[in-house]
Amino acid sequence: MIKYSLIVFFKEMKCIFRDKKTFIIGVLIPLILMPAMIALTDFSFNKNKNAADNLIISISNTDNSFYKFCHRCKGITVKDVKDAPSAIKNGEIAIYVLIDQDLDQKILSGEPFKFNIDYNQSSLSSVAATRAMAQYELDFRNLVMNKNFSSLEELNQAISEYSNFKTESTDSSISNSLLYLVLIAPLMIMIYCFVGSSSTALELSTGEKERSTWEPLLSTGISRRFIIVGKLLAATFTGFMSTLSTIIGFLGYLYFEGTLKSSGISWAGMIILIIISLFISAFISSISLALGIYSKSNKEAQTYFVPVLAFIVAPGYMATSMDVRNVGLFELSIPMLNIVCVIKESLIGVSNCFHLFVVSLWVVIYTFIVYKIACRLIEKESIIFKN
Amino acid sequence: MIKILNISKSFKNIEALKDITLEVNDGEILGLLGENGAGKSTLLRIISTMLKPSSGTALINGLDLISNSEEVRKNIGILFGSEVGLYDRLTPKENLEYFARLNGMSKDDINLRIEFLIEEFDFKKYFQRPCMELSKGMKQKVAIARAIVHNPSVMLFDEPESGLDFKASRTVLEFMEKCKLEGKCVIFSSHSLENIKNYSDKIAVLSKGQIMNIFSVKKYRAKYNERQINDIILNWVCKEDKND
Ligand SMILES: Nc1ncnc2c1ncn2[C@@H]1O[C@H](COP(=O)(O)OP(=O)(O)O)[C@@H](O)[C@H]1O
Ligand SMILES: [Mg+2]
Repeated sequence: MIKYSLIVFFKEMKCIFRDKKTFIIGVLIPLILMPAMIALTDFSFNKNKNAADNLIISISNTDNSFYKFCHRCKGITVKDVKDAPSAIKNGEIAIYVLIDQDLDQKILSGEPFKFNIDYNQSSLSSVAATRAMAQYELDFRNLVMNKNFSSLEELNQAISEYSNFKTESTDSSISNSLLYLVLIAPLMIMIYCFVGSSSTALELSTGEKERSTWEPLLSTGISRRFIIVGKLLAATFTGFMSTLSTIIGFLGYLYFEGTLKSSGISWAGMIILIIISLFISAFISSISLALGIYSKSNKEAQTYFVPVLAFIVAPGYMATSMDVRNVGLFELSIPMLNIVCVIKESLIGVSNCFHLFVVSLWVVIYTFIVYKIACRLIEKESIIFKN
Repeated sequence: MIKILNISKSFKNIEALKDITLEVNDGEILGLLGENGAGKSTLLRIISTMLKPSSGTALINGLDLISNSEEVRKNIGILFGSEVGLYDRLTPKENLEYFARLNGMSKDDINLRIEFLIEEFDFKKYFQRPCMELSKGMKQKVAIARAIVHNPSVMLFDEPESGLDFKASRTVLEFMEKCKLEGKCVIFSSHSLENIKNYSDKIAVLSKGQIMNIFSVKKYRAKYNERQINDIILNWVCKEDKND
């Protein structure tokens, strides 16, 4: 009967919300964490933005169309330096562009040509500059490739007309920090989902033992699996709540900052993320709850939790290096690996509802299996009265 | 009423209970006397269905312990000693409500019952405060009320006075007596000879999982003086085996 599970659930929620610590860790911190991180990164990226807006570069050969092109671009200052590597190192220039000696011939004959870009990999502003440079390079290629110029004059003519239009890269309203955060946001959300549900589930099970309410609780007339279901719901809900707080904090900040619309966040992706986090919460909660039931104390549970955590995270970690565009049903059946796959998919803009469905189904199955194990454990005398 | 029929219990290689047969009537307190490790808790846990007997069974108000465990649990209240076992963040009222609801009581019954318990234990002053703010004595009272919130007809007290100061243990023991007067069937386990003698109607001496003797306190008092009774009982408590 679901009624008894709900009695347990509501009682647990009451206990959770009366504890300020849980409230602060579970709701308040996730709510302000992302905004705080954006604010911090925005601060450091503003410096880098300068570097991207005002590119100082050097080019290997000066007598060619690309050199002329760069002179025409408002955002680029071309410097002639003797020792490019050391100029990069001491920050005199942000980028050194190495181009083919016979660039113009190649353009005229329609041959492919190359740009080699050298920059200081340890400097964030230099990294930001390469991004801007890549945009200029693209503009240049658009300008000269496949145009069938018949002579050098025609090519130079095209270049000289270029100043009429503007490069877009750096002054688009989407900031670098935002791009960066859109990438790490899902990670943060997942971490909070994980932490929220596992810590609650462990507390809900081992806490009863440590406060010696476990035996009175088990000796009530209620069947033990209802206790498990109620606690599972409570832990899942708490993990989910942390996730939502993280998301609300993140989107709320973007909204008030006025960059929400231009951030390019896909709503479908966000919704998938929310749904998935609900499933992760349930899965992690069930595992932590089973562990908590098995352990005598919170301390014991923590020691078991570390290897179990590694076991759960490993497949998820594998997925981060996988190309998710061609995952099969096999990959989608491995716990955590499947979840990371779906998250990655939604991030690269592929909102595959079928995959979401398959993964959800598997997570429900796994959660159910762990729940069944928990039911077994809670019926075992040697576990309830461990000494 | 409790009828224990040939119950044995082993944990792996430890024989914790050997062929226990006992009967406790309504309105009667059975004192279960034994040293640490004698098997008192194990026996009470079997009666409360927390443990399954390895063999034998028991009838609680006519209900079979093994086949009807969920019903049996609703008839039983348990109280442990030192550990109060309350939810600190809930108020006494919420603690009582929670256990009442888990025992399947209806809302109206719960309200009536809690009204009654508030009167009974003089709870009014601190009923709205979370349990963590209460003194140890108050918590003990709440724990007692929690044990009887569903008005069970069988009460099991497992060393209820251990770890309590004099006043608190007195409260518990007097409460136990009250249960008896209300017609409940009570088992009281302890390793305190004095308390067992003062509060029980019948005493069962348990040693190494075996019942050494069961006798009526009244009958013994008619025959022997206190000193003699103590000697007889201690002799059983410390006996190595029934057969030597
Ligand atoms: N869960 C258990 N697993 C293994 N042995 C146990 C367990 N519970 C009790 N025992 C053993 O059973 C015997 C009786 O224990 P117990 O009933 O707790 O004694 P008492 O309550 O009289 O002190 C002891 O030898 C104890 O070690
Ligand atoms: Mg004991």
